[in-house]
Formats: sequence, structure tokens, C-alpha cells
Amino acid sequence: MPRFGTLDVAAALADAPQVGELTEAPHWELPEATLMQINWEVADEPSLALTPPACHPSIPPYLSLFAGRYPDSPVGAFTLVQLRLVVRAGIRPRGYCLGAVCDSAEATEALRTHWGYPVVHGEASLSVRHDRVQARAAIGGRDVVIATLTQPETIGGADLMPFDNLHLVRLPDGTGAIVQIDPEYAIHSADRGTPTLVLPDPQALGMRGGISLDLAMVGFTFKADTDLAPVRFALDPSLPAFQGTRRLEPKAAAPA
Amino acid sequence: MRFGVFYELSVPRPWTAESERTVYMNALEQVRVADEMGFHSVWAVEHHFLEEYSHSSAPELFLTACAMQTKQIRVGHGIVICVPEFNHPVKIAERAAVLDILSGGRLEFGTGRSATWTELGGFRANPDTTKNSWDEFVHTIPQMWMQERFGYEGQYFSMPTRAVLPKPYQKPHPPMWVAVSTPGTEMDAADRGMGALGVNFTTFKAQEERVQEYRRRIQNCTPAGAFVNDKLAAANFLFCHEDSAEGVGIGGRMIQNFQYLAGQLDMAKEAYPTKGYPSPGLLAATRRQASSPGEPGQPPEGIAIGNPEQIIRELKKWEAVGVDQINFLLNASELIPQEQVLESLRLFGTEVMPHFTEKN
Repeated sequence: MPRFGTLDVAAALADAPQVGELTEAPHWELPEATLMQINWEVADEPSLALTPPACHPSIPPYLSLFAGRYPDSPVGAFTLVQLRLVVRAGIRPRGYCLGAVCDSAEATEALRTHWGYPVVHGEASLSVRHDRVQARAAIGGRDVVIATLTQPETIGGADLMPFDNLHLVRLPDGTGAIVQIDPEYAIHSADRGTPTLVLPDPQALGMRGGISLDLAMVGFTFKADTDLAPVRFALDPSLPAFQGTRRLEPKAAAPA
Repeated sequence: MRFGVFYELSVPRPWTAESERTVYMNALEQVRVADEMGFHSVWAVEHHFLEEYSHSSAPELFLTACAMQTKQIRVGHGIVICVPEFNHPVKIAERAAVLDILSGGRLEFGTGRSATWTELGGFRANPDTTKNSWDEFVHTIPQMWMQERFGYEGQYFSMPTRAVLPKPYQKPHPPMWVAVSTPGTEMDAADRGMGALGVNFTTFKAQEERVQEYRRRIQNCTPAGAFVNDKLAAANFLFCHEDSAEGVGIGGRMIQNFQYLAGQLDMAKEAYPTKGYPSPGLLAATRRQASSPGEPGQPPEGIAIGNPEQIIRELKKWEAVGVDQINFLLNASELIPQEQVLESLRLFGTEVMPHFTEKN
């Protein structure tokens, strides 16, 4: 049996977002988003301690920085920079979100409440130049992420496999859960390039013991229409995903 | 129809000092029984860093041990990785020739290029170019074997003229194969006059279409080596038991376990977007079916688990669609006790194999 994560769920839940009724979340259409993902191998032991017991660590473990600039949403434009650890829920690769920064207070609140993003309000940007794409995030004026993709070359959208997210949350009934966020992507264009990743303050993005960056893997950026739909799946954080995954059913409408 | 046995050499956690040795020794004992029962070949993968799933990183050594302990069974690289960061082509040619000599001309030479980020990244190989290097290797290695001296200026390796030694025992050289883990690769095999060595566990319906196209394409091939190997092999699972329910139950658990381990692999496409790996690849179909380890599910059509009559029925379907050979995975994570694996092999050999025409 593959190894399971050793995250102290009880301790992690203390800082986890408190969500509302998940199945009653809105459905956000997010057209014309610009997105960037950078994958970077990391050391084994610290990442195992950040992986929930519901999941297996990736072999090898790697971080997946994911930044998005969303010019049009129900709460206006926003940029979200998130740091994810790639894990496996059963056999499926997922990005377990360790921490995130969003530049819109309203979006931050909605992302935490409806989808359980462990996100804080701060400075976040995704700038696109001809020769590079750069994501930056800062909290209280202090940089926490600087991620850059250089020498972009065009690739096919079909070559990309964006991961769904997993978020550790506190449910309205007081219990903990991991929820799956599974956006759809209609990809218009994509580029792949050489990544660099600087994490001046790993603690600020949920990497409790810190993570040592090991091997640069790849960076890619893409333009897509995407969305955020109500959560459909939740996992018991402490049970293997193949035992503890349940489908969330929307509540039936009250009789008129 | 010919039959072979196929080894990933999976080693389940928790690992002890004896874990890997037990897996290897069990496999060798199974190969000896397979040889006695008349199986055609034993195949071993080349994988690196794939924790639990496969600890078969030096297949030429395992296959040499197989050859030394058996009389008839052929030994197959299933496959050797033809990517320069993994293996220099001269070393591949040399090692294969030694294995062919030591086995008395029983080598089947399977080739491939790896499909996981775990391995490609581990050797810092470029996923964009593995198909190109594989192509260069499979065209040059036969020349190393057949020419007294060989020199080459290529894209993925170059060398001054040298005598690459020893030469294989089989003349002009061993049969060549290509691992087929994604749809389309069998056409690469056909175009180069190489056998198509199926390493994923597809349905026979999907296989039927591929067989027809392979047969059509290979008629007009330009062989990479000195001759055409027009064989098609498929991978399968085997657990044969007198009692149908026992056979399906135990075999089903083995399949589920294997699929779950396979589902942990970081496929190249997941981690590194590239045209070089257009689909998730190795075992993608079975990964979609996998749910949990150790729980029997409905075995996919064409799988050789159950009693002899059930297995004959399923294998006849493979034979009908034109597959020449089926290579069986016998166990996964040592889930099935060794004695039961051996009993399954013996029962298959006595009750199933006689129903298939070609002498193995």
C-alpha cells in the first residue's frame, strides 16, 4: 500500500477556512482568465507532513504554484496566487492547496466561504510580457511568492492536464473535511517555458515546517474560460480517499 | 497462440531486509515452473524509482538468472529504455548480446522510452525527445550487432568506429519489439517491422482494431533491423483455480491491487505538458477503472481469471482477434501466496495451454 500523508489534521483545522453551506455556493463563470502553473519537485519528508492522511504523496513529491488573473467575475476582477502540493486522492492527482493570496477583499471572502480556499487578502499579480510571465504575491507588503516563466514557446492546449484542487475546511456543523474544487477549462492558447520560483516566506503560504525546493520541472501558462462550481465531493481528512469520499447532494428546494 | 509471463516485480510496503529478495526469488521459482509447463517467454520491465509498483531496474540481470535456471523459455526485455540519459545504446547492445549468448539464443529484445515523470525527471531526460531517441536507437543497435565495426554521427549519440562486442548468438540478431502503452505506438512498431508488445491491459475489442491496422501497415514496413517480427502480444492477468469463484475473487483482488499501484505513477503528461506524450499513457485505461486496492471488482472482459473453462473461453477471444501471444502478470504486491501462484501456473499449463494450437 502506498504511503499516506502524516498531516496533523486537528492542528491544521484550527487555521482552515470556515465554509458555509457548500452545495448552496454560487456558480461563477470566469471567462478569459490568464493562468500559470509551475511545477517544482520538493524534498520528501516535509511534504509528507503536509499531506493529509486521506491522500498519498506524489512520487516524487512536487509543488504546483497556480496563479490566475480573472478579469471578469461576479465580484469583479481579481488575481489569485496559490501554492499547492500535488497529492493523490486514491489514484487521482490533486493539488492540495497550502495557502493562497488574492488581491480582492470581496473575492477573498467568497473564495474562503464558498470553496474553502485557504486564501488571505494581499497583493497578487500576474503580469504577461512577450518574453516572460510573472506571478507575485505579497502579504502586508512583504513578498511571499515570486514565480516566473521565461522563454515561452507555444504548445497545444490538449497537452495540458490542470489538476483539481483539494481544500481542508471546517464545515458548518463544526467537523472537518477536504473538499474538491474541479473547474472546467476551455483552453484557448498555451505556452510552456522555463520556470523560476522564489518563496521568501514559506510559512505565510501554509508550509509549516518549510519545504526545500529540489528540481525545477516545468512552467506553463494558458488562457482559458473557466469557472467555479459548487463543491460536489468531500473527503474525510483522516480516512483513505477510497473509503472517505462522499458526493454532496444539493438540498431540495423548499416547497412553495 | 503463445503464452508468456511478465514481471513488474512489485514490492509492497512495509519493506524489510528480505522484501525485495523474496519477490525476486518467488519470481524465479515461478519462471522455473513456467518453463516446465511450456510457456514461451518471460518478460521483465525496466523501471526506476517506482516505489512498490516496480523494483525491476536491472532486468538484464533478472533475465540472466531466469535463463540460467531454465531450459526452453525465452527471455524478453519488456522493455529496455532507449533514452540516452538512461542507457547508452552501445551498453544496450552489449548487454543484450551477452544475455543472448548466456541464454543460448533465447533473447527477445523489447524496446521503449519510459512514460513517467518519476523516471524521466529522475534521469533528467527531456520528455519531448524520447520518441526520437528511441527511433535512433532501434535503427542503430541492430547495426552494432551485425557490423564488425560500427561508427555513427547522430542526434542523440555519436561514436567513432569501434567493434561493439560481443555479438548476439542469434543471427542476424534477436527479434525486436516495441512496448505499446498508448494507442498509436503499434503503428510505430508496424512501420519499423517490429513486434508490438502490449504492456497495458486493454480490452480485446480495442485490441481487434489495432491488430487489423498493424497487420495492414506492416506489409509495407521498412524494417529497423534485418528482418520483420510481425508478432502482436497483449498483456493480461492470470489466476487459474479449479473453483470459479475462488479464481475470480483472488484474481480480481490482484487486479485491483495492481491498478491502484499503477494509479500512483506520475505520468509524464500529468507533470510536464508535452506533445511527446499525447495521452496519460501507461495503464490509463485500467487507472480509470481502478477504485480501491484489495477489493474484487468486475474483471474487464478478456481477463484470464477464473477456472480453466472460463480462461479458455476468454483467451479464445484474443486468439480470434489475431493476437499472437499473451503475457501474464501472475501477482501484484505479493498479494497471492506463492504456492497459489504456482498452482495457478500448473493448472493453466495442464488444463488451458493444450487448447491452443501453437506449441509454446
